[in-house]
Amino acid sequence: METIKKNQYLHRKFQIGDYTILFLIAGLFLLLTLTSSTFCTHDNLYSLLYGVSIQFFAVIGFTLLIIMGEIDLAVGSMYGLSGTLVGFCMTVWKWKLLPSALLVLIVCALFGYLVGTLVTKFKLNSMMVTLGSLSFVSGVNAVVFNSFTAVTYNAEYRSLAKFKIGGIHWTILAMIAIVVVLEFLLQKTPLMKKYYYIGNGPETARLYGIKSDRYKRVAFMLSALTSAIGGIIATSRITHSDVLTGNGLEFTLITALVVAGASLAGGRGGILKAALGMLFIAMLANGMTIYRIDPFIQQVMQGIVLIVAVYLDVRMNSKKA
Amino acid sequence: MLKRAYQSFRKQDSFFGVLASAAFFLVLAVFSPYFFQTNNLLSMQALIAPRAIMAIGMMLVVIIGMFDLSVGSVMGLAGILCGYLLSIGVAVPLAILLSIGVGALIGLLNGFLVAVCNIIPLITTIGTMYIFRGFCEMVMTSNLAMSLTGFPQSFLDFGSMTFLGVYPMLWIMIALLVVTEFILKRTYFGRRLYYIGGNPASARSLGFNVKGATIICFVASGTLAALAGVLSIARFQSASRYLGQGLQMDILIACIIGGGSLMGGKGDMKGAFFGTAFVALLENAFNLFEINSLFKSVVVGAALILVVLFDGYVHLKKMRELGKV
Amino acid sequence: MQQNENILEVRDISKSFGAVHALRNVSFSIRRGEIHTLLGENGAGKSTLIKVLSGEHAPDSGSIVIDGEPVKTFHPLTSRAAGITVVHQELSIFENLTVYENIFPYREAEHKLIPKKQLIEKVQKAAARFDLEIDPEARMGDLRLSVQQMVEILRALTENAKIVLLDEPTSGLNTQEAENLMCILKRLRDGGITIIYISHRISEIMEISDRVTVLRDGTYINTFVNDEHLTENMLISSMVGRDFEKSIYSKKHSTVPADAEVIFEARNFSKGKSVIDASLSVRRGEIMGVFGLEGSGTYEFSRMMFGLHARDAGSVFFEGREIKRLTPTAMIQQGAIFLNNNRKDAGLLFNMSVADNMALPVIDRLTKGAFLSRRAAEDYALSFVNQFAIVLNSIYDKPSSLSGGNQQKVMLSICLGTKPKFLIVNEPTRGIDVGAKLEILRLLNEIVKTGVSVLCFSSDLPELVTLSDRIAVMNTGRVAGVIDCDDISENSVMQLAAMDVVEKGA
Repeated sequence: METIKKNQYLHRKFQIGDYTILFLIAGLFLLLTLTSSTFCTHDNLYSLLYGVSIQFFAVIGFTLLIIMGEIDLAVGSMYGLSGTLVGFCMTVWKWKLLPSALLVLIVCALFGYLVGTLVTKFKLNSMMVTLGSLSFVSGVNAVVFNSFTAVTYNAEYRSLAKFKIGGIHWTILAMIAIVVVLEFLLQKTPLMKKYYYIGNGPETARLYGIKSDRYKRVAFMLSALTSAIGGIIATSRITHSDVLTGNGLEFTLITALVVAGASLAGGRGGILKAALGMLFIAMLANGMTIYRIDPFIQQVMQGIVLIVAVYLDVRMNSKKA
Repeated sequence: MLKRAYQSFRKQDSFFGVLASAAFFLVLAVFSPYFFQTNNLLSMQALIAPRAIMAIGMMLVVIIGMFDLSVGSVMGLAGILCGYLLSIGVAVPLAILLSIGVGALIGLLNGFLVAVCNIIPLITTIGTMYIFRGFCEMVMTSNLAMSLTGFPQSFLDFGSMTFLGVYPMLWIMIALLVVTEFILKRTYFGRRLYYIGGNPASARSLGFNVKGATIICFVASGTLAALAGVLSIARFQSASRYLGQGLQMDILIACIIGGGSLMGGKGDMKGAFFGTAFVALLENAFNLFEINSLFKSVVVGAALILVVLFDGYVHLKKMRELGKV
Repeated sequence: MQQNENILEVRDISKSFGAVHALRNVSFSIRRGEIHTLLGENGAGKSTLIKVLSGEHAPDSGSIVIDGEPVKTFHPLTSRAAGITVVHQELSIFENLTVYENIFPYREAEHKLIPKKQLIEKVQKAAARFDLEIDPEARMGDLRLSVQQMVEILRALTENAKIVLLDEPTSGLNTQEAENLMCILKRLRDGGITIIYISHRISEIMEISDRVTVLRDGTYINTFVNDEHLTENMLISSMVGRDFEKSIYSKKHSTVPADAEVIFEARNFSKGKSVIDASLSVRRGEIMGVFGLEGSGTYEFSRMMFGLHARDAGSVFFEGREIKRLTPTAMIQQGAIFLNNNRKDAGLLFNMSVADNMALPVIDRLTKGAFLSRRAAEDYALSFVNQFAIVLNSIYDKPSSLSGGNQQKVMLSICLGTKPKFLIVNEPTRGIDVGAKLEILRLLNEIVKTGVSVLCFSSDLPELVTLSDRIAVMNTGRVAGVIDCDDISENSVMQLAAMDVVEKGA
């Protein structure tokens, strides 16, 4: 009698909507493979994956913020700034790679924590605040960038992005590892589960003793930190600092997350979905490039994808309310 | 009577903006020998006029509690489009009209997405910002060189002829400021924007058409941004693919310094102008004192954060008092 | 056309929301040019009646007749057109606009531009007519609440309202301002305006009303004429007078010894005007009820003592020790927990499963090793489903698919999962049907038997009387008194809740 009763209450509804991103990726993959001879080649797919794996770093902290219903629009500028700052340290102060990177990461993390403190302490709208920090950081980026001649970096730095393990770039392996580990942690640890609680009901979470503010501050710090990591690697890949690195990255990240099923209102999403979303957007760009579509039309397409994705998100989520 | 005038001025939303830009003006006037040189004054006009015109549109959107981040792209696209049309021989008035029309259409799109599709202004206008910046790049890199030149003389005169030492664009700016201020202060439509921005729920219960007003404000914003773009290329006699890029932040900050609030329900045209003047004077100061102009984004970003902080703090205190936090 | 003596007739109005009967065959009439008070405790049906009169809700049955004309459509704009304007507690004003803009938001047909001078004059005339002093060009946000209220009343009057309905108008005002308001209302009445006044401050009612209609549990009880025969006691009794034999509730016999140890104490809590120097204590093993009518500060007080609301003053002592930094986390650590009233407000996550909801406060415990154990979470949730007989299809359902009563049980499970020693409850049975109410009350009693002490804030008086060992009564922000079990009766509680509190000292 006990077992019957138990099973009766454990029925889970399978929500097909949760997995649309897989269908999207599969569909796009199929489309591109069938219509282009160059898409489904090892070189193309590998370089696609490689590109995503570097930008992926920026989405780690960003995803945590989205789950909690906040946002950090400065991720792109932080991504750019870190590369410039490392370049500055190495070129002007003649530091080595490791100390430069450490310093830059600490600075960026502190900045992120500061932003998080402003948002939580004064209950500010994270969109508006990070719109400001976006400007601020990209301004700093431009100033620092122009203060030294950007040379091609030394071999040590250049090799950072190119380092391979077993024939595969370490960033791809890192991305896979991080996705696996972090997704597991998100779903399976009490600590991470709290992010979802906070995102689904900040007042309720607070009522039952979850210190939302603390989690948010940490997430803002992580967002800045992981973007900085990504930026350092990205700069290494192109072997010199470029002030345009990371420009518009936040836009890509938002689109990737919303397309993959996260909601800007919070409470949904995950690292796996984020990575898949980024893969989808990268495939889209890749496909458009293969079709020789103008990069600027690509930009237009991305804008359209963002708006459509958010529109569908609004439609679906407001039904729930 | 002077006291009464002062008191009524003190109550205006734009009080702080006027003061700030007046202060800055004085600082520059006093400390820089180059400030009053004709070259400088002319270039200041060319800097302020298009931006102030864009700020008019932005302020309208801010009054109803939103913002429009696509104005930079619209300005660029309209300018580039106008340049392109002129270079293929389209008549000047038609080229101008079409370009401004495009701005109006983009504004309509924004308004539709926000009011009807319920997509938040941030996403909508970031999206359209990207889309239409992409259009800009497309036009500029497709058939033509990096910049367009060779405009008809009448167009160039329109842009750079001075009348009483003042460009036509300045007169246009003044006219638009006056007319819009009048609409805001003296017509029912204008006042309604304040009702809608200040208390949307009550405004709705009074029967005001919030959706309609939203669309109209975005259309205005797009149209005025397009006008600014046209005026800009008339003055500079060429169009670059980077026209207007990143301007939206400056304009938004200008409106907020000028007395608008992110919560809505506040702001006026005086503020739009003086806020713009403030930011422009800031840039001018950078030039005159030979400070690296790249610092501008830093200052603008910091200013936005401070303004959001201040706004948010005041709001928080109020909510605390009412016992809602 | 002969003018009817009655300007408003409520005929047999009924309105239900789901299983809850808010109004049941309510009939009464309001005479032209009188100040008519509607009296009743929370849940008596006043707010529903207001919404029907203002056109926000259409009644299920019955009719409203205004000045001889029956109301055909129920819509806010048609009610205004018919001449009823409601001034709510939450004023719907536009802070950044001027007084005259707040009073005249609409366009007059013949004007293209805003006739500023004319509007200013109109405001001055209207104000003078009712002997009010208002600066038409002042910014609304700069004005005091009492003046803002005046402006809203003026707006109603200039719209040619025949009937002005004021909902708890004095709740934000001090004594002097309240006096002023009442003078003004009398003047308005003398000028021919009909006023419907909603309040539960007995002394005010006695001072200002021509007639008083009492509602209780959604039904019409009586209409009193405010002449020399009317006493405060008559009003209070008719508010609460329930037939106890027929009642589903039975009065409690307390088993808590008088010298039981004090487990929780809230001392000297203050916040502005809403809570003034409020203190109370709870003994081990007892259910301490707290009753207050609207505006008495119960809601704010309950939240302040748990660290959810900012406060100007106040300290909390748990088992004798002060909790220095008062936050929900600190309270939960000490063994207290808060069962909220408005489920949609906070307390339940509607987009997560019931199982996830229940696991929230104890998520750190539902682990196997360092990781969450699905098995542990399921067993945990199922144990509550059994214990509280929660009706649902699956623990993975979302709370929205459960009935109100079952949602409340889920919330109770969330709270009890922390194995608290002390439970603060806010409106435990609001919005749920009678059967579920009884169940929740029974569960609360059972919980207390296991050693948990309960502090129960409620505006449902019969429920509180059944439940509590002692009842603290709040009135205009202060604790008016604490009633021991043997003295508890609806009447005694209502006396303290509705009568003017004698201020100690100044």
